[in-house]
Amino acid sequence: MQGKIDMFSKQHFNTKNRSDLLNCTNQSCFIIPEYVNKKIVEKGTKKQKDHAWKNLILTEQLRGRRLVTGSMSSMFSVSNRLDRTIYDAQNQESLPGTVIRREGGKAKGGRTVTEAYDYSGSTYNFFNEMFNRNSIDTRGMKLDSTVHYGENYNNAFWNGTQMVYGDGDGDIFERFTKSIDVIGHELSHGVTQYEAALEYEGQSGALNESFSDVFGSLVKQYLLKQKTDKADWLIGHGLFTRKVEGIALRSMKDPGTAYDDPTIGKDPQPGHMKDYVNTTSDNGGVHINSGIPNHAFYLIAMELGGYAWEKAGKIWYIALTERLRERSNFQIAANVTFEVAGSIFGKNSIEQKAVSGGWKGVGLIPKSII
Amino acid sequence: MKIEIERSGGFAGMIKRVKIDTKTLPNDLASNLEHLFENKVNDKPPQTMKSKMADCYYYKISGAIGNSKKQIEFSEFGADTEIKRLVDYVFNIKKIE
Repeated sequence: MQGKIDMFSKQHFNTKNRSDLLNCTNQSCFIIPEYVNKKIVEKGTKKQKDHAWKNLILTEQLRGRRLVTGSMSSMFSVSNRLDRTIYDAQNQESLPGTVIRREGGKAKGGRTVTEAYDYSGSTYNFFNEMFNRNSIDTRGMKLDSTVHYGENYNNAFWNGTQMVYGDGDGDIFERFTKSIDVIGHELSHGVTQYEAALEYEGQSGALNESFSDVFGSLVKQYLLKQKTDKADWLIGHGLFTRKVEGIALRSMKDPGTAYDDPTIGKDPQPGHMKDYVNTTSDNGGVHINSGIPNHAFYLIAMELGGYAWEKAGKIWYIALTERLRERSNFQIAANVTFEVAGSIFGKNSIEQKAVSGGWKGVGLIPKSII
Repeated sequence: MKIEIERSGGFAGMIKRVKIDTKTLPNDLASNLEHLFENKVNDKPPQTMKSKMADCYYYKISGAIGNSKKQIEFSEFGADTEIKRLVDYVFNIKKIE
């Protein structure tokens, strides 16, 4: 086990010297040196260029440098269209599985396939129409999803290159494609990976999770054309079977209230810094303490009213794509969103005051960083 | 031998812990689990990966061999098949009980 890195995380490293990936001390390191990738980008086939470009993007993120496309973008082809492929793992754990449906293909394979296809399309459309974003990587990255992963698999995840969904055990969980915010959540992990690359532990990890919950919820609200007062602000609503005493996995409106069940326990999320959970489990509680920034977003969105993606969502998107970095914590997120609100809407604007109020509502005071 | 297995993470973020005394397991399973623990766990501090796959499961197996406490941590994609199978088996036993 020691010294092993699983193949799905080949773009992530446990190296102390992050500025020098060539000195990876792990004997299983898969990384190709940057100069090799750049050469492939110049001279390779289209497929080779695409792979090399992806590697360069990811290593740029790991080095803490913002993605710079200007000098290199002309060398690559960019797709401007939605491109989805849905695979069926047939209850095995090998990825990606068998192709069931390609972009533009007939609906087939059952509701799970249809949900993965439709909802990933909705997520793409949300980011494209609201923020002019061309897929996860801004370059039309294919959206690959695998359904029917594992047996009775009570989970969904983003593995760095694709989304994966289990069917649930039918006892506690339904299928994980059932809720559009789950799909929006997972795709948003991809966006975060290509942008701030928030490190998946502690507060930066909780922010990573929170951004996925925020955008997952906004995707649902956008599809349903809901204003803030009509949205349910729930994550994973409908995932539990009727046997479970719970309405959803998380509540942005009221963290800690989504479920309370004798079998699975109680929703552990705090909604305020005074209740911050210090734990080594769950990578330092990334799914637990995400309740705090989730609730801050909710408060800000409710204060501003209207469609949450127009103002609060925009502030959050710009913070994620232009300001936050890998190790940003809650305080930094508060400071950055406060500044972004001031930049977009004006200093002391209603919007900036709402951001300030939202963070204060969860026990954080934004500080001006200019 | 008393072993504690914790699974955390996943989209739901639920933390599940089971404690098991290998004496209560069928002989072959008990033997496999103890052998696994004795041979797979080392004395170095547990390795945790800095960058991790979003929403995948993470496991910790801890236990004591004599006076020495040991712990192993891994993601669901960092474990070999044998460990995963044993972990899933223990979780399933506890679910039935």
